[in-house]
Amino acid sequence: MKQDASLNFDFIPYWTIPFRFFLTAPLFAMAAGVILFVFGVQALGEGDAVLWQSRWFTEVIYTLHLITLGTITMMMVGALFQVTSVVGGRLLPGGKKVATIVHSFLILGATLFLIAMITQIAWFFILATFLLVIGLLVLSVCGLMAIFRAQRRSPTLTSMTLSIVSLLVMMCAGGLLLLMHGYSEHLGFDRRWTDFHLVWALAGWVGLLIMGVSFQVIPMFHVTPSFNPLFQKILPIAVFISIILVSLSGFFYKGEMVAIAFQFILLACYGAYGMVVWDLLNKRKRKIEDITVQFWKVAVISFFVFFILQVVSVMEILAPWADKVSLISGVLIIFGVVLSVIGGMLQKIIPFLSYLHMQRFCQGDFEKIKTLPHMRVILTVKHSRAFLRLHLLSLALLLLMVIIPGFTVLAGASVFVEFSLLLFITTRVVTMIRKMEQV
Amino acid sequence: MKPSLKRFSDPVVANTVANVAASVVGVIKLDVSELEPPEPYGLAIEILSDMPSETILNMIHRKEPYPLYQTASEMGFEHKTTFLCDGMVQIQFWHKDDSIVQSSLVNN
Repeated sequence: MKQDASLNFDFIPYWTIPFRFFLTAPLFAMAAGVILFVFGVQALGEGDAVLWQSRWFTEVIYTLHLITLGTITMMMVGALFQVTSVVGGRLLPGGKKVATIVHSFLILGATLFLIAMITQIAWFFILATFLLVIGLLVLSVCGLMAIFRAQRRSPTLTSMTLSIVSLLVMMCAGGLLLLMHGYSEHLGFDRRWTDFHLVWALAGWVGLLIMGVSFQVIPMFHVTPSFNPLFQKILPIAVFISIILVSLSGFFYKGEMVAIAFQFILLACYGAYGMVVWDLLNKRKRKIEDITVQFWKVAVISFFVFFILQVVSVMEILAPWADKVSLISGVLIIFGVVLSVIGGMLQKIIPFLSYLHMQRFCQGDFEKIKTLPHMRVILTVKHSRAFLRLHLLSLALLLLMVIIPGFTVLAGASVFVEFSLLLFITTRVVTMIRKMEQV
Repeated sequence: MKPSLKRFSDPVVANTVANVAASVVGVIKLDVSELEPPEPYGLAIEILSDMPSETILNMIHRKEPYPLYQTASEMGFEHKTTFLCDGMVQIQFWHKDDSIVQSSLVNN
């Protein structure tokens, strides 16, 4: 097996495979925006003082999962289908059939999650758990098969493998939590599983996949030096081991010194990653305006604010506002870090993938290839810039909303508009590819 | 020969155009080492589509452009890849069966 970090474009999945996930993902964030807007209107009308008082409220859980399951996981799964093929030189087995199963199970599962939480009808929890677990299990098995059959080894594939393993652990804990929500009288409700689930989801599944993909896309799209090879090899493994230690110590020794120490080791790993990313982006050869770079920088800054909040929490400086700090930390890590990175990466991946597929449709015809739209025509800087500004506005309003619930209406409206724009951008590109395919 | 490159309008591409214009007859120099994908591909295709025989496109890239190899081959071009000591890659494209270019490459 080759030790090779280069990309292989002989194996790219049919264009509708990743794009179906990219098209669906904004819809869930738009739904979250609508729900926030409704909460905000209700709070304004009824003077609801309890809004955003605790992370344990059902409303917080289902709004959060519309974003994490419906938007973040949906986009990550689309990226996984694409990146595994290009980095490993192997398509995910099952092709369109597997993509259809995973896509439809994710849509139905995330929707039923919302319905179950709102209605509290027990069998909806079982159905949502079944659909989500089966959909993600099929994805994990196919993803791992493609990686093990890969033509080459690379730190990106190692990171992706650990990310998929994390997805499996996260999915088991998440499934258990869903069932505990539906059948708490039989199963009880052990809150320790929530933090266990959260660490494997964010630091494992999402964090490791972003890290692995960034090893390829930052040097490629931003023309920066490559990540240090030793750093690429060691960091994903260090993060994975830290996640095991954090989740177990948090489960059995919550609040004790050992659990806090492991938590800070994990934070330090991601802190080191953030600093390296920042440093590489500053070493770009072309210092032109790049919206994706700005998204990355928002993510790194959000991460360090999150880091400081964790230090402050441990020192119990803000103990009377612990619930608010916890919610602000959630907004920072999910909206400030994860969605910033994903939103930024999409600004490069969407036009690049569409160009790659449209170029294939030309079948080597020079005259046709010459008519292909330029990257900046496929996704205009104007749209990307507007998306970034809306994202910053949403982030600011979501943070404000936790402190002053009166901002919930505006935060919901901003999230809705932001992701409507992303849907418009993606739909426009899909229309372009479809037209080119039909020529 | 000046290929039409008006769709690529940033400063790096402008330098590339200058290199192309200044190159000696028979060799077109193209440095895409600072361009993000898929600009090197589009630029190379624009040049190859108008490239006369007895001419070599001498491309400097920071990695091997696999998709370009395939398209260029389908359109009747051969290529030779050389890994340079500074980590860059030099790729030379010429028309298949262009004996003058081939003998020139063998002699060099």
